[in-house]
Amino acid sequence: MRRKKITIQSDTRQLKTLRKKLRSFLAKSDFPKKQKWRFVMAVGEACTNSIQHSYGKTRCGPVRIEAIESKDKIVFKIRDYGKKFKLKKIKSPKLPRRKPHGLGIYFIKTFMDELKYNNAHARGNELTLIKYKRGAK
Amino acid sequence: MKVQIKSSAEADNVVLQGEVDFQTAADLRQELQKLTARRSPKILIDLKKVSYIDSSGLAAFVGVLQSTKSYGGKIAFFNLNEGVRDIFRISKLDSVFPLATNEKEALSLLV
Repeated sequence: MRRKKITIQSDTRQLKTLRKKLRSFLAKSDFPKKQKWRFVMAVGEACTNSIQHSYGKTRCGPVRIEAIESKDKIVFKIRDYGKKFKLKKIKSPKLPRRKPHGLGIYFIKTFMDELKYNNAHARGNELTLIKYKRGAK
Repeated sequence: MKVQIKSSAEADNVVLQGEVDFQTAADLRQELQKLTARRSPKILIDLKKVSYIDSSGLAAFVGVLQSTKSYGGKIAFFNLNEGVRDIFRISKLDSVFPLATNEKEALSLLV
């Protein structure tokens, strides 16, 4: 099992650093190149949501990302400590979009096998993104 | 991310370089709005050197599409790498935007 923890602050300028560290972790993964590209985007979208919606313009704090790759799957946990959001209320968008927003969660759901929201935290949000390896599920 | 605009008699060619995310999409939107503000009739966007794009980048493109449609302008993309093309396909924006393999083909799609 391989594991990497990355922490960024709620500043969109740090998204580039996050992607660099994620790519470094994924370089040793046996997932196909296309899938690695999708992982970077899915985690980037989740972190952008934390920065943009959970912390917003008035709050600041950390976004903690944990990537865990095992024999049968890869898991990304994204935790923030801002305002809670209701994932279930986010509807699937009609495609193609005619309005310039609303695709972030759609990409995450499309690219991953599972998207879980941990509702147990008193403050903030925790998303878990899971992709199984071929034949593992 | 870098945005370079090369204007010719045929079209305004926008050459993007680097990663387009929530942070950099604002700059991209601003540059594209300069073209739509002067009612550019044909906008070609070269994505050859774009190594990453997220939903914020796509949103900037949807925004400029709406602007060009309002005055009868046209927009097309070319030189998409595999990852960027995947994002257009998954979001079904490949049915909205003309996507070409090279500049010449992109220009022909705007006739």
